[in-house]
Amino acid sequence: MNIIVCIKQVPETAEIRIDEKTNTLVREGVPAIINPFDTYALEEGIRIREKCGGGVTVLTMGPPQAEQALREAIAMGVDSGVLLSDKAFAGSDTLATSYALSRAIRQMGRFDLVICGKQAIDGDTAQVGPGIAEMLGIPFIAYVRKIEEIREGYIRAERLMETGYQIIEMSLPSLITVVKEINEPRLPSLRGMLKAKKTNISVWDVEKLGGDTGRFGLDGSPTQVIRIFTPEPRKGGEILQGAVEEQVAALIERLKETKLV
Amino acid sequence: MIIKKEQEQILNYLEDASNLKGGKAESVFIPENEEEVVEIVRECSAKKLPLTISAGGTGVVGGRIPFGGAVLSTERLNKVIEINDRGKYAILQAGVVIDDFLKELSERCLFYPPFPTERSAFIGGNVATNASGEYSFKFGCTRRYVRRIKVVLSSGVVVEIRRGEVIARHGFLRIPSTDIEFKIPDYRMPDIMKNSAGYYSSADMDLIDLFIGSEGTLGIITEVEVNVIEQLPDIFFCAVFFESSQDTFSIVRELKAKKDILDLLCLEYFDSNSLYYLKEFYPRVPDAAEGCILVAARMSSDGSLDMWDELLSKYNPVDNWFGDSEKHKEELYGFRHKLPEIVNDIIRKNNRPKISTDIAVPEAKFWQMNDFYCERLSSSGLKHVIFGHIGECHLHVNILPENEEELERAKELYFEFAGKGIALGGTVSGEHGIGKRKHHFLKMMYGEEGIKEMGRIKNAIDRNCILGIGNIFTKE
Ligand SMILES: Cc1cc2nc3c(=O)[nH]c(=O)nc-3n(C[C@H](O)[C@H](O)[C@H](O)COP(=O)(O)OP(=O)(O)OC[C@H]3O[C@@H](n4cnc5c(N)ncnc54)[C@H](O)[C@@H]3O)c2cc1C
Repeated sequence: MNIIVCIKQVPETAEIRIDEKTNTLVREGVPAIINPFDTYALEEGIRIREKCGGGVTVLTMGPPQAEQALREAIAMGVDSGVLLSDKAFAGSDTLATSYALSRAIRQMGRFDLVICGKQAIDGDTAQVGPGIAEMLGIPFIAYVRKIEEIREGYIRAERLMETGYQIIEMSLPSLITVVKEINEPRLPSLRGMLKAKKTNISVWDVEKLGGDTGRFGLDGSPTQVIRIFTPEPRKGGEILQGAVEEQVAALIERLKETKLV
Repeated sequence: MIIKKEQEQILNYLEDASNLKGGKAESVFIPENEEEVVEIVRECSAKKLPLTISAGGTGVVGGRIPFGGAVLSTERLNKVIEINDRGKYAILQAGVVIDDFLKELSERCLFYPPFPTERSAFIGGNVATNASGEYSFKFGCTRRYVRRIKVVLSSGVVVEIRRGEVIARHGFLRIPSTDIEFKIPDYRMPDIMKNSAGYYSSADMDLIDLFIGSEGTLGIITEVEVNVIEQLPDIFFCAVFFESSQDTFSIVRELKAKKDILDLLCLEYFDSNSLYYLKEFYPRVPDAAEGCILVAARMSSDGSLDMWDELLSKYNPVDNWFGDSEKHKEELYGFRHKLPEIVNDIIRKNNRPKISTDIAVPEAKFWQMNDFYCERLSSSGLKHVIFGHIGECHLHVNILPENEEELERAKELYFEFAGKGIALGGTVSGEHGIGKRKHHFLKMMYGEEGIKEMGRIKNAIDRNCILGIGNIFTKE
């Protein structure tokens, strides 16, 4: 089974700083990690290979230093890595990113399953996985919490819903995005680490991907970010005191004041 | 200064990680500076009121638990006074939390080598117990890094002791700016890597070493100056699982022999029982594993990982977990830290005290000691785990008794282990101290006479005999 896992390198921090001029994340001085949700995708890919044989390729688009994320994936047990890196990709929104990744996947030849994390912790859009599937014209299941069965041409998986889960059958090749309930990502192994240090990472530029040049990078990104900001932390709520009747009366009064009732 | 007298507010100070019950105190003083410490001590001395010093409360021998009298908590003496990058030292108030200290150092690319596994401990608590840490295999224990302390004696006098300034002469030590002079102990400490049992003693001993590891019985440490080093780059952690304990022990032998070539910082061990308990929280622990080591080492050259790979593969590991990123190292560190936590939880559920040994022996006798543990424990049928600092010949045996009968047998076993450890030239406490739990073992180690010598020193320094009552000595 040929599996492709798409990952993203993200800053490791909960307190993201934003450059107010460029509306982009400040990455200086913040260590980069593999997007945590993508580590579940990597783990699942490796598990499927361990069960069904085949190979796992990890794919990312990013600046040259994103190569580090690919090496870390290889240390975990992935077979090979491809980095899409080119100035032409800069400024990609989710649409352009999906396009670039889907072009790359096409270039890779025959595949059975693409796995993505449910979303990246820096953008939180959850659009890229489904976007890739659309552009490749393959079916997908988002928010997979368990793969019940997978074999040549067939997958049955549990999709996490707000109130329970769905069981979905789907043909392969196809794409899934996974949630953290699906597994416990492994740590790298020493052998994997050695391999990671020695493996050549293929770096592909825009030319290699072919397709419509107008759909990459900033040109291919209809999204316009007007402003990004850190919201004011919410002020602590108010706790009404007194007997129940008093509290109810006070609450009604307050709701009227704010014209909510 | 904050003074707490309401029992509800005091409860916190009546326990630590030892699960020792029955603590009580009439008040807790929380001074904010040295003058207030002096004030408290004077008051207690005048009333002959016992005073127990409290730090992070992570101690495992009940050292900070008061049995009457008052508590002096160092929690507000928590300022990092100076970090000197060029001189490579730091000056801290006693109540600085180790974790905070490490973070502050790391911002300046500095590091405090003997930091203990439990990072919520205070630097004062570490000095008072001569704690050792994750990397003590390489760097040794707290004592080696303390260059100066400030201590408030029970008389209220503040003394500053800098390493190298007050050395025993003709068998006597004198505390500067006081009339306190006493004979140093005749007993000699075992020749091993770490020892936290009773007062320090050696022929040409430094006064500072007497206070380090004195478990709150001689004075209140208010300020500490420690050596720091440059941050260590390129550290990796690796947990390696083996199918047999024999393979595990064989690799330990080889690793110890190659400690320097491999630039090993830490060499820890988990027996099969430890892995059994850990598996519940770490399902990836391989079923086939009968033993595990956790190493931390430096990747000094490009080839060092190849060297490790070659070495490990000789012993047929079933799996290994490698981490060189902060995130993965944190995970592996969490794995190591989880075991004592699991054990403590079981103990709490069983509602029986933990029988946990802290015996360390000389290198040449280690395997003999280890065989003795394994043999006696397996024939006892008691639930137990063996884990810890195998690099320093210092394994912790934790027995988990489920009823009174088992508890009695566990205690007997502990006596046997202590007896064996002493006979092999070891110590009954490698790092945790004596506290209120291990008096009898200290007596086994140094004899009645040794305890008397310590008592003599205690009485000379703490004349009113109010400090840390119950620690090291049963009664003064
Ligand atoms: C999960 C876990 C892991 C641990 N791992 C290690 C380890 O790897 N190595 C190790 O050595 N220990 C370890 N310990 C034990 C403990 O962390 C150490 O003994 C630590 O040094 C205690 O520090 P504390 O600040 O918590 O002190 P406390 O428990 O508050 O007090 C300890 C003793 O020091 C005295 N004391 C405290 N501050 C002062 C002061 N300013 N002046 C004079 N006396 C004072 C107290 O009176 C008491 O006797 C571990 C404990 C736990 C729970």
